[in-house]
Amino acid sequence: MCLAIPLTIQKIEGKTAIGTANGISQKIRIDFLPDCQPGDDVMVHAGFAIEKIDAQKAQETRELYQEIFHAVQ
Amino acid sequence: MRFSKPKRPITLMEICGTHTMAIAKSGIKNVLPKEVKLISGPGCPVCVTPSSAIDMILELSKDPHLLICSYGDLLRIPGSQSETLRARPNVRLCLSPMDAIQIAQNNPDKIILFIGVGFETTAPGSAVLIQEARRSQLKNFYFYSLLKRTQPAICALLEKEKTQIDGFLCPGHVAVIIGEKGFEFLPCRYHRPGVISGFEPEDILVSIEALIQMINQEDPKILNTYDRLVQQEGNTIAQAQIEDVFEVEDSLWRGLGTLPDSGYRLKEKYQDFDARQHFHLPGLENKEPENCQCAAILCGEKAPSQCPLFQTVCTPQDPVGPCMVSSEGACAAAYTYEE
Amino acid sequence: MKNNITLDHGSGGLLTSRLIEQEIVSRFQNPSLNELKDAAVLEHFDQDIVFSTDSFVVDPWKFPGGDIGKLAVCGTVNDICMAGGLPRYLSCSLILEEGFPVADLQTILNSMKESAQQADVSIVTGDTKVIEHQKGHQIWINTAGIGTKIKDLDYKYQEGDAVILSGSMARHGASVFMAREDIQLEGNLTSDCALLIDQARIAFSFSGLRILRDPTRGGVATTCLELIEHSSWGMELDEKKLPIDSDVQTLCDLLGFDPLYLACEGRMLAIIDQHQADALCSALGPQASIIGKITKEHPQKLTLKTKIGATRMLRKLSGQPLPRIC
Repeated sequence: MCLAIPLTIQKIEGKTAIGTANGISQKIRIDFLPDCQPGDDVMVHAGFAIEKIDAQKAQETRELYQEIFHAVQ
Repeated sequence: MRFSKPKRPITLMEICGTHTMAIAKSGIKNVLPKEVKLISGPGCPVCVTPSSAIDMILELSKDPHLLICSYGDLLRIPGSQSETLRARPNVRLCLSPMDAIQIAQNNPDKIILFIGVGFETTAPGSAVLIQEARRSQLKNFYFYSLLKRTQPAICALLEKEKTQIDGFLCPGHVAVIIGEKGFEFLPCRYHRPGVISGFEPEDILVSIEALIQMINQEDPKILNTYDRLVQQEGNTIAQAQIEDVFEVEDSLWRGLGTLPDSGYRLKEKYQDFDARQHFHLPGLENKEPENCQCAAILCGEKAPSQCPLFQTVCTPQDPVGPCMVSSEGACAAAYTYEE
Repeated sequence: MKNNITLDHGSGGLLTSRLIEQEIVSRFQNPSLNELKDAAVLEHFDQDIVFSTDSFVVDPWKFPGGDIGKLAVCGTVNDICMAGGLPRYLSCSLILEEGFPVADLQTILNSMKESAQQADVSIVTGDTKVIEHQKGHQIWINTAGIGTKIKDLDYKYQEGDAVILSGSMARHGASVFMAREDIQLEGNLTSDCALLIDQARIAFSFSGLRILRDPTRGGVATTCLELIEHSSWGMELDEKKLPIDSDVQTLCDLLGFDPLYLACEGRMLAIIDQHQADALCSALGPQASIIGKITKEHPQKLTLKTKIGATRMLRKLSGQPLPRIC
């Protein structure tokens, strides 16, 4: 339905920003995230940042999955 | 991971084509309890686009003054004569709808026709494109909306007589826009549980387990395992952009027919950019190939392997029906990734 | 066959195989051709000769890490090496579009010269044609190459044989997408386009070496399938062991591509006796790794053990990849 990829906001110019991950950068629009700041991780679909990724919840999810899927049984 | 044992055989639907792909790619069906059947829903935007739309765009593309812009997903879909848009010289690939603004400005002697496909995730960006076209006073830009809404399709499935869907894996990126509340209708109106899920194999496995538990306990709710991204209210700014530019209309889905309020068309204040008006485009009709079971497959009534055309006449190289034409269609995913 | 040639017939995937098998091999049948290796081994000379040809139509002609000239030399040289030969001579046919800048042609020819010198091959014959503006696309190159055979490579696999990849996958395919005008992404991702002579020489020294291939069009998945589809063996790849650079993975995520199906132009796939696999990996260097094995189960099928421990099939590339949003 909708592919999206996490990118980190590098710099912002009006409603346009540069998002980057692993050395690949894309010019994206941030119309839907007026508060976003350089350094924020955002999810990008078709050139638009659609939401910020909540760093704390992302960490909790990672830890939960680590426990469920990779714990020594 | 260990799954709870389902108390009865259950059927779960993943609505989203990206989930369909992720499930097939990671082989999730092979690790589920045998009582759990996963079926694919109508969540691939190009799959549910009537073939008459592709034929119409192909016909339009014969005009050399026209530059047709869209996403790669649409450009590789064959029309009824198995031609694709990508083979046409006056077709441009866009990664973002905003690419079309630049294409329009760089080609003042051409007419730009942007084909907007997608669901609620893609619609807000399309809205910004149209707002920007007005701000830039583009005179050579038109937008053809094939945009669709998720909820009417799910309702249509659940209101069918034969439907046996016990729970839904809800599309995480649609939910980013419409919020958890956008799926509350599932337990409230249809007494079915739903889990809003991300797209990593772990996300999907955890979400399926949550569905099994809710079904076992007969306690249907909307849960959100993708809370690192999806909020209760969704992205209200994106919702407002949709609201500004589009209004809902009845829309034709491949396989499902015409569903009330299931599509987005441009509001009157933006009609200068509406391709339907400018090109006097006719309404769409459904002409499905003979023996093609895509309608039943899109509704989750049949598996791809139950279609007589699957893998024999209908393959990704030579697709017959909508579920095979897009790589995220149920048949293409089954063909590509399953035995 | 379909009525008309489509782009997918040139993608290196299933339709390419069908075109070759149904229209070409069936007509021109002979033992050298029928093997469908990257290069033919020709007997009846004083010494067995390895002969190959390849056409290069990459668009854009210049991409990060190389250009069509470098590719045209590396491609044919590598094909000869993969068939157990060491290349000696190349031909060079240029098909130029009217209006193509001479300065660009000079850049391309200089790349060819440099790669040919590195490979120690001479470009000894060639041809030049110019076609009318807009009836071609800037520049196309065909090279053919002749080498001497120094290693017998057949498909005599044994259960448990290791599949080795000499470096990370999908870099070339990814870099060509980076270079496309309509794909506005920035990054330092460069093609892996390179000569494989040194790697091939190393591999030739192993007695347990079964086969070599460079996974170009169609990527690692399609090439692996080609290696077993006419045998009585299966192959299993391990998703956790597939080497992929993070920038390539990000590009694939952004555009919706599966890196298993994007081309490498400087990587070698080797199938080798499992007992010699670690030694070959060490000899090839830290980039090389074992990515899978030959199996008795699922003959002629390629399977992937996924990260969650499930198994699924891999098929040939179907259709040229195009960026997706869905």
